[in-house]
Amino acid sequence: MPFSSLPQEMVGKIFEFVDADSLLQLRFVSGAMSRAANKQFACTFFGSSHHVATEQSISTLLAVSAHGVFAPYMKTIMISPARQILAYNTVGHHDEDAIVENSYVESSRFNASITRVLANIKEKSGRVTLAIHEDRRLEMILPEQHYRSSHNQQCHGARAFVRASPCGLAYRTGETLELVMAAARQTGIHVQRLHIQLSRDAWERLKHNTQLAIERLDVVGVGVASTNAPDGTLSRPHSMEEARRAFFDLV
Amino acid sequence: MASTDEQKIILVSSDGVNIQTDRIIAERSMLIKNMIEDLGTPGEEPIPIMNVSEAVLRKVLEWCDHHKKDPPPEKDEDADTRKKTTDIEEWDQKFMQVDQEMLFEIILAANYMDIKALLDVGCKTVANMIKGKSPEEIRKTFNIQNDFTPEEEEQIRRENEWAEDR
Repeated sequence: MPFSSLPQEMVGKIFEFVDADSLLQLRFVSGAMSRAANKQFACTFFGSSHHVATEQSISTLLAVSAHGVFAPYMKTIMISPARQILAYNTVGHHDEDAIVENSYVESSRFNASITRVLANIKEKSGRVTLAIHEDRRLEMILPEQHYRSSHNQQCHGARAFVRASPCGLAYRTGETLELVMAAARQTGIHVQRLHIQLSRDAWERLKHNTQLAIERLDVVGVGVASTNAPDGTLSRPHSMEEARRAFFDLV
Repeated sequence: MASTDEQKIILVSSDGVNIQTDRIIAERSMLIKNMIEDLGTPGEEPIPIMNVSEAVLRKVLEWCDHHKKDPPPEKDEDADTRKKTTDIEEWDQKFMQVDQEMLFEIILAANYMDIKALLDVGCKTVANMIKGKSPEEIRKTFNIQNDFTPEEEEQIRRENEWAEDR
């Protein structure tokens, strides 16, 4: 009984124990191996998909969401609100003082791509969690670092993104939230629940425009959760420790 | 009536050989456990194991004997913790030092006989044979032909890039 006569489901089962790097190698072995590895490959790399808002990274997201085999395994899509700071206007390190590279997001290309991504998701995947998350680990990447965490939670395209931002990163959470929600509406996706996970700052300390963006969202249930109350309450967010993530559950 | 621990039962391999074993050993297999419960008369009727030959069945029972005192698997054991590790305990590692043919037969038998822990050990053993190898080394290890056209290989390369640029 050679390896090639094992049923594909059994080979797929074996691949559940294979590490991420080996999965990439396995896909080159043969057609049968590649097909048997598809599910594990998709779950490992695209199950939780985090992307910085650059043309290259979002087009990758679009390609995966259009893929007949991989798309159904997409469960969480996170769009980073991070933007590159190209220069500082004045002394100080506040976003408002900085020259922030935002042309791609402000262009219609970002919106068009996200809308197509969500349309693909609606067609091919079931319930998906959308997240806008100020992932501060981005700030800790060295420009030349090529890294992959064990959980594949880091942002796609982060390396090029960080390299191209000479003065650090700014976070445009409110703007990103509104754009993604607008794309969801445009696609006819019903946002069931908004879940705000507080992990660092108090609600009051959130940037004003982020607060406004959350308040403007046309969502019936808004839940705020902190590490103390992980299941959250379906009430208007008020005084909680930290608000860095907004999760939407989509149908 | 003898207590469950001492009860003997007879299994029949796919090649028609009767193998007597303890009920407690055989019941590591959920397939056999369910069959015994359905039959209701343990020990009296030989139990046919359709898909498993004598050599493989004896090997599987050797594993079951060593693990007969293991606590029963928890229901819905956390799939993630189970998969994060490819560690295999020493006795199991030695047990799995067989030729590939036997290794794959054991995996198929464990799947058919519904012995989850043995199935996991078998799958981990093969996964460890894959770890750290190049595609060509994997082909050599398992005697697999590369049947990709250049276009298909290019497609794989592109899809891998979606995963790699992180």
